[in-house]
Amino acid sequence: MNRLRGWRLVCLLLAVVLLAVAITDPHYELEQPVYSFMAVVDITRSMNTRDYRLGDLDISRLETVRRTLKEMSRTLPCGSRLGVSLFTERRAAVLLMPVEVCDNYAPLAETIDHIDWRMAWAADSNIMQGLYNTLELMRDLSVREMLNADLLFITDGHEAPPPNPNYMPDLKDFQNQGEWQPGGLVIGVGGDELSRIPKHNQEGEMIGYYGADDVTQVTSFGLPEDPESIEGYHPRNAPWGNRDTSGNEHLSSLKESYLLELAGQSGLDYIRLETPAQLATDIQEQVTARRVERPVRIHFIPAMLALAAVLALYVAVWFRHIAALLISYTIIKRYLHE
Amino acid sequence: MTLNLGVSYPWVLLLLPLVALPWLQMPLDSRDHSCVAALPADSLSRALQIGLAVAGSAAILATLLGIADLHRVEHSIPRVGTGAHLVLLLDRSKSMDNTFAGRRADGDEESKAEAARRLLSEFMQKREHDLFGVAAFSTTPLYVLPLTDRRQATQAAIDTLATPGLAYTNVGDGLSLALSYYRDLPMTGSRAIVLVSDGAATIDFRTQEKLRQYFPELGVRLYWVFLRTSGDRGPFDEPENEQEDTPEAMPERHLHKFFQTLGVPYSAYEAENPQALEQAILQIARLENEPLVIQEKVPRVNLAHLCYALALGALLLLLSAKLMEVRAWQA
Repeated sequence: MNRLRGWRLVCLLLAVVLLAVAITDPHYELEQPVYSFMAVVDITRSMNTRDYRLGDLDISRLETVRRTLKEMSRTLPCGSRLGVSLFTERRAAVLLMPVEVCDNYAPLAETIDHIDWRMAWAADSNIMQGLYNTLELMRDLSVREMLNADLLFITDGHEAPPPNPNYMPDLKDFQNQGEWQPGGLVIGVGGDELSRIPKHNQEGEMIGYYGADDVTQVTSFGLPEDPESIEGYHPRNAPWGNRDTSGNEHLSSLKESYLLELAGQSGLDYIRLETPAQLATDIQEQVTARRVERPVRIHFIPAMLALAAVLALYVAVWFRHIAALLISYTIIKRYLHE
Repeated sequence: MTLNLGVSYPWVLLLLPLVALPWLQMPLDSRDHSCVAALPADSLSRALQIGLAVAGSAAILATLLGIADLHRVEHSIPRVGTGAHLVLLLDRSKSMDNTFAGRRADGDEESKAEAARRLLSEFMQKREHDLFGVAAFSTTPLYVLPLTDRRQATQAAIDTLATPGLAYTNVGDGLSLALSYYRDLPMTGSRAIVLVSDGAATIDFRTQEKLRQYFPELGVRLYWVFLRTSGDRGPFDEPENEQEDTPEAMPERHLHKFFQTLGVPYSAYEAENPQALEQAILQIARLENEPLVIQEKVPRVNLAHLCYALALGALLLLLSAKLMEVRAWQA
């Protein structure tokens, strides 16, 4: 038993030292991925189209976006930030600058829940202009520091009235500008099939669907590219000719090719919203995380070792007994065998 | 009083049966003796034996609690303090981007929105017990942030004033929205809406009726901080002749008159420059100090290191026993 004595003393001393280390509450600077997003949500009428499903219910694109943003606030690693903006007309309005998602979850979720098409301060929507103005805002020096986020431009690509391609800004303006580069995603919302767009009254009650005559079907803004080639063109009386003005603008589907084009021009990535859970996961893979050092408490490591040392103090004797038993067992077995 | 203790890793507590170990086995070394029965049973040895077992158990228990990360959870205790539930109702119309002089803001002179952002931020930071909500309006009312004690979130909402304004001024719907923040909220402390705008508009009759009903019903006071652009009219302006005295011609004056009929305490402040705005905000700060049952946050307290200290103490006892141990009978 004398050999054990020295060993036990060592165990005790070791435990004392390890606990002393644990008392200091040591930290380790762990590099953690965090994200910073400014979600710009399209709140124009077509976003009320119900072409997502939740269980047995048809839910609207906007409702799906709200669920997605809340899912993101829940699943993004703590330290990540999320802000909310609205898009309608030709620009984005910042509703809430990015805030840390864990500590501010409760108010942030309320803000997201209240995103509504009735907040739109104008009824039309020109997505290319909207994206252009949003990027311009994010580049603006006076707010760049405050925002400091990747853009999530969430839209179905449906524009009303149909824009005239001659009056479009060039999204490539933002590329290769050196100090500031747009980063983030265009997120496509909606189904592949054309669906009816619900019509609401000012109280928010649904009163039917938009019909073909309720919306402008073709662009009539400004001047056409080559007026002379349009049938029935007259500079004063019929600048857009007497062409067919029927169309499917009262129905809506995700304009994916258009959004892919916009994303490509502005140097953003494109991703499609299938379900809130899918998007919340995919987003963390698509967007490069920012790395921050976060101190992680590691007191449990020396403490666990100390505990092991203390336990050894008591069970070491048992090990000796068990070892002795095992040895005698093998010897006896071998002896019997011979 | 509850202690509000919690552990972060409850599974560690599955190892708690280990505290029985010191009662099964002495940590000291045994010595051979020809006849144990011949040794007298002395109470000192007995006490020492129990004492060492207790120390051993305590060391294991405390270390386990430390590893499980024992802490006092963040909780709040009700306390009577002074404070208010304030909803900041911000004007996000385009004109807010101009300076008090009515020019476009440049490097030297801050815009009305920027001045409001700076001073409201200071105001909020000073009032630590208030709950702040934020609503905004332009052509439409914008729900921004519920009444919350999360300062960071409120700051993020106020900071939106740094971004360009939207369109027009629709005060009526903005006020209705701000009032809705107080529904389903227990009646405690003072409630006030701080309307910050640089213009006014007519409020339609239906909305006026609604506001006259809900302001007294919900017991909400109103402060109107009017950011006056030089050359523009303000709420206190008198008409030069009778024909001019219409809501359309003098919306500020008529809005002010309407606010006086709400049946709740109401004050208007006219600020023509950032200093005046600061004065107005200071005055509101002085008024909104009614006793209020506030939930004071008691932050989380880590107790792991205390556990380890306890365990260390127990181990030192064991260690001293160990060092006093008889080496051999012959010595």
